Amino acid sequence: MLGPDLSDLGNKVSREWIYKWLKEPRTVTDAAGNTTVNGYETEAAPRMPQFALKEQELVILSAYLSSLKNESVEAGQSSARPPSFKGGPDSVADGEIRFQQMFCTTCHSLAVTRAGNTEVIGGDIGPELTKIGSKVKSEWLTGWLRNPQQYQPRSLMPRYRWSDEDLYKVTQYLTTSLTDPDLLSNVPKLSPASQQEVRVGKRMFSDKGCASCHTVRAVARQKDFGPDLSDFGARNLSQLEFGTAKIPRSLAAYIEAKITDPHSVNPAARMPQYPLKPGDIEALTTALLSLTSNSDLPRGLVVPRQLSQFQPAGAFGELYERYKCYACHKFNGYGGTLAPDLSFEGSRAQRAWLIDFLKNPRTLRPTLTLRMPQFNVTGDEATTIADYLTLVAQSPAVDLAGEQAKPFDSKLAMQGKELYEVKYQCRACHTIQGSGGYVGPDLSDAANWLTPAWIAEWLKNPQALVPGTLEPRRNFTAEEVNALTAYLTTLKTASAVKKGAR
Amino acid sequence: MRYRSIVLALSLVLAGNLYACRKAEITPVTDSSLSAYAFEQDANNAQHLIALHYEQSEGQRVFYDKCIWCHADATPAGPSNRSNLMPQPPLLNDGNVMNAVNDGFIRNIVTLGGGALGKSPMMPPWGNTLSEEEIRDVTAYIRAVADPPYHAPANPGSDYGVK
Repeated sequence: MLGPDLSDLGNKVSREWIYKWLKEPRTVTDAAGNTTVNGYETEAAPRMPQFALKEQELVILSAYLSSLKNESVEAGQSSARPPSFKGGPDSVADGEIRFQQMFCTTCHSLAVTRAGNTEVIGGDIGPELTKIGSKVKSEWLTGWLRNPQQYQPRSLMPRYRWSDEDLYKVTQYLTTSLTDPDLLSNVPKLSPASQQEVRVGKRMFSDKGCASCHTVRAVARQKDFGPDLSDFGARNLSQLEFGTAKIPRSLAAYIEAKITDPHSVNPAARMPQYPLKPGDIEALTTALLSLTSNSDLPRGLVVPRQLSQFQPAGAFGELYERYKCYACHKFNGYGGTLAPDLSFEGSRAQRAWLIDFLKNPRTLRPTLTLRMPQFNVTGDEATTIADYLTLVAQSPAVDLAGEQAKPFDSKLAMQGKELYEVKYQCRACHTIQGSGGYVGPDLSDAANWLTPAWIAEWLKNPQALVPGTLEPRRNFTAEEVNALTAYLTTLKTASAVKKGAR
Repeated sequence: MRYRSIVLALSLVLAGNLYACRKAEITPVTDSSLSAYAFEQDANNAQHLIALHYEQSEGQRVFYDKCIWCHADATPAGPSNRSNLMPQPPLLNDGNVMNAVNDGFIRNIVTLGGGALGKSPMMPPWGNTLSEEEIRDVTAYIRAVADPPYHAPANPGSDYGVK
C-alpha cells in the first residue's frame, strides 16, 4: 500500500490535524512552482495528493478518521515519566542531546535556520519532523519510539533498545520543541465525532477511493478504483471527455490537462491533484502515450523493475528485521543506498571487529559524517550478526583460507612499509595514526579490521570487489601485493591491542 | 539553488538570442550555450557559466568522481585533501600551471601517475581504472575551465614534461 495504515489514526493525531491535512497536505506548491514543506522550501513533496474536498466533507471525513482507534494499543501507551527517571527539569534539553546522539537525522530531516536562511537538513528515509510536536500525541510517540512495528507493521524504523528514560526525554523534546502554534490556527473548532458523522464518513472514505492507498481494519481494499490504463495510448478521442477545457482535441493535450488539473476537463473528476513539476507531467504524458497493446518498444529500452528480495531467515533474519539493516545497507542487490553494500562484508571485515563495530559504531573515513545510529545491540545480537556475515556474506573472489596460510614475516612487512611510504605514497589518501590524507579510509587499525585475503584481493583490483570505488587499480607485482598485505596486517591501534588482550 | 541559477542564466541567453533573431533573421546562431551538454560555474566569477560540449561534460563527471578530492579546495564531502599534501597538487582550473603543459603530458601523467613523469608519486596512475576516452575527456574539461583561458601554443612542447 502506498499510504500509511490508518487503523489506529485516532490514537496518533487529533481530529483538527486530520482536517488540516485533508484540506492542504503539508506541502504546498506556490505560484512560482516552489514546493514548501510547512513553509520551508524543499525539493521533496508528500505523495498525498490534494483532494478538492468541501467544508462539510472535511468535517465528516476527519470525524470518521479520528474515530479509528485500536483499543488494545491505546491501553498500553503512556508518556508518563518513568518511575526510574530521576533527571531534573531540563529533560527537553537532554532530549535534544539524545536526539542528536541517536543519529535521528540520518533518516529524518529538520528545518534549521542559520544566519536568516532556513533549509531542511537531514535524511529523507523517514518523514520530516520540524512540526511533529503539533501533529502527534505524546503517548503515541513514546509507544512508536519503543516499537514502531506495533503501530505500522511494515515501517522502516528500527526497534532501538532505548531505555524508558531516553524515550521520555526524546518525547519531551519532540513534543515541546518541534512545534508550530499556528499550524492548526485556521481549523474550526471540532467537537468529538458523533455516530452519525462516523457512519457517513466511512461511506465517504470508500467513495473518495481512500482505501486504494490506505489500509483500515475491516475496510476492504479498493483494487481498481482508477480506470485501467494499460491500453490508454490507443484510446480513441471520441471516448474522452474534454468538457469545456480550452485545449487542443488531442490525446497528448488531454493527458497533460488531466494530470495538471483533473477538474479542468471534468469538474466531477474523482482523481485528486498531484503536486507535479512540469517536467514530471511531460514524462508521465509520454509514458501514458506509450501504453498501447501493440507497443514496439525495443526490449533494450525497457528498464526492468527491481524485484530482488533478500529475506534472511533464522536468528539473523529477526535482527535484520528488528534493526532494519536494509533501510540503509544493500544485501545481494536489495536495500538502501545510504550506507555501504554489505553483500561481501564477511570477506572484508573480521568477525571480532564486526562485533566491536556493532556495539560501538564509528566512522572509518575522516571526511565522512557518521550516520550509523547506536542501536544498543546486546552482545549476543552482535555475535549473531557477525557470525552470519562471516559465514554468508562471502565474495567468491576472496580466498580467506588460502591467504591465511601465507607466512608473513617482519622482513616482508618492512618491505611493504617502504612501498607504502616511498614508492606508492599511499599516505596521500590514507591515514595511519593521524598522519596522511583524508580520501581513503583510516588504516591505523587495518590488522584488526580487514582480512588479509581481502587486502590482497583489493590491492590486485579494487573495482572487481567494489565496482566504481575511488581507489585506482595499480600494477602491483605479486611480491608487492604480498609485502603490502604483510605490512597492513601489522597495523594495530593501541586501544585495539588492549581490547584484544581482554 | 545553483541549478535554478543555471536555468535562469540559460533562459536569459535564449531570450537574448530570440531577440537577436527577430532583428536580423539570417543571423546564424553561434552561441555555444545552445548546444551545451553541461555547465560549470567559473570558480572566480559565480555569474559566469562555462558551457561544456559533450567531451568536456564527460570529463566534468570524471573530475567530480575521481580528481576533485585533491585538485580542488572544496569537495562534495566538505574538506579537501589538497592542503594536506606536499607538494600541493595544482587546482584543476589553475591556467597558470595547466596551460604550460600540453595535452599529451596531461594524458601521460593521468595514465602513468606522477612518479613516472618526475612529479610527486602521490598522484596515482589511473590508466587501469579510467578508459583512454575518459582521460581524453578530463583533458578537454581541464582546457575548458582553465583560468586564464587556454590557447593551444604554436610549439606543443614535450609529452613527458622534460624542461
